[in-house]
Amino acid sequence: MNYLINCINLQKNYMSKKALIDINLKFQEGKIYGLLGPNGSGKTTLMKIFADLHKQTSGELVICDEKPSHKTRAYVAYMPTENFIYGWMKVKESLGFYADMYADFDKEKAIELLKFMEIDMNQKVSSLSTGQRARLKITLTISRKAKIYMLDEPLNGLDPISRSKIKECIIDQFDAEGVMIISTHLVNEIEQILDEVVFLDHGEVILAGETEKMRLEKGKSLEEIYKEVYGHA
Amino acid sequence: MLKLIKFEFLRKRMTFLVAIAVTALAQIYALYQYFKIDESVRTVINGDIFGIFVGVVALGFGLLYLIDVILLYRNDLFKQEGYMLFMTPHNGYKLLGAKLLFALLEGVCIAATYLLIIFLNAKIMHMGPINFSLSDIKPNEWQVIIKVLSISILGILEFALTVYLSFALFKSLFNNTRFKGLITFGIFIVINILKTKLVEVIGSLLGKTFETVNISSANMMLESVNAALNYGIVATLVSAVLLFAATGYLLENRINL
Repeated sequence: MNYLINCINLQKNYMSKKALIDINLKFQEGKIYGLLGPNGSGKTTLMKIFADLHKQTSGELVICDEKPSHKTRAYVAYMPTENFIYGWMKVKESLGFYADMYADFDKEKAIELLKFMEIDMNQKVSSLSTGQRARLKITLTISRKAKIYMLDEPLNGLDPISRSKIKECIIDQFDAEGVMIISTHLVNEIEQILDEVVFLDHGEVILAGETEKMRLEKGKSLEEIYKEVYGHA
Repeated sequence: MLKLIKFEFLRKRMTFLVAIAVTALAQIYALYQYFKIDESVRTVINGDIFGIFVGVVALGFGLLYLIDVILLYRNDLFKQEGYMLFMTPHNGYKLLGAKLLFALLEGVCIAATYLLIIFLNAKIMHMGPINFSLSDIKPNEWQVIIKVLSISILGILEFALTVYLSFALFKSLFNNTRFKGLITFGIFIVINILKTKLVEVIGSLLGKTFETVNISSANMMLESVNAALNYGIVATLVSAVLLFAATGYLLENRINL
């Protein structure tokens, strides 16, 4: 089994606040993982550490056999939850930026995906609607031939059409040689595509395992398990 | 590196176009005001008007340039959109270097525009023929000119890096603390104090300080100016290199975006 991400006792503190506590996780190639938890549970912090945008306070992290650095960013296609695409750019310029910066970016694929996502190449990013921006974000991320894909809340605040397009895109484009990590609290929307799930709460892993096994063991859907786990909140 | 500089240029192209348009309008307005002055009065105070014009334009361009150099880095570090740049597989030193190179190129363009404006206005305002030839400059004067240019460029870099290091410290070691603005400003002050100390150390190592170089004397010699410039160049260069190394290190190893 080939693990593309391996973290041992990973910890992240913001001053006195512990954002991540002793995270021990392995992410295996060919699988789609769900990083589940309510707001503030540590999902985004964990993803940002994997993407080398944040540094862990302690613990060990290995990304594709390397310590996180600017080099590992070449293997990781991360889609932050924030509107990270420059508003001054035209859509086609954002494609140009990715083509310039990432050796693994497939521009042809991105153009095809944009057609599927119904986004005009000549439109300015700042003039796109929330749904269109989300679709552009995922197009840029998925159009890379990366080893690790991380999508932070890809379905948040989107209309049903955008959600369905994004889900379709994730399923179609996922490569069996990579790992995909999707963070969300909209469990029912994506539970059918997740191979494994990790439940986070207040920076700690409180439950992790194969989705199907979990469903069978508990006799519940993932959404019901989610409600059971975070019911106290 | 070139791709990063290209990106900075694309980002700034609209700002450049707006700046050109505003400069053109301001120039038209200034000339309109100039020609409104009675010709007899104008002839007498022509030199004063031109002097004020040269100073005001230099001040305006200089201020806008410094603000732009600060924003060049600040916007990426403090705004969400900065993720787009910092997620790329370029190391912190390269990202920083590209920004500094772009800032220098921008400075050269602004300086060229400034000289062009001054030259054109000198013609329009009949400031007399400009009898200037590069061949008239003596070798030792060339030395001073090159050193002044070098220290100016290094000074810009050092200023930019001081600001950049303050921001980088804030987004790394002092991230997630209260009183954001105050801390950044405090860091800026502390770095400047440390820089002054560094200049003193370099001065004592070279056996020269500004006090020992007699630049206030009426008989100021070119040699004294040269010595002062040498000292300034070394001090600014060492300071800029240290600031670059520290900022690049923080970007690469400690940043929390």
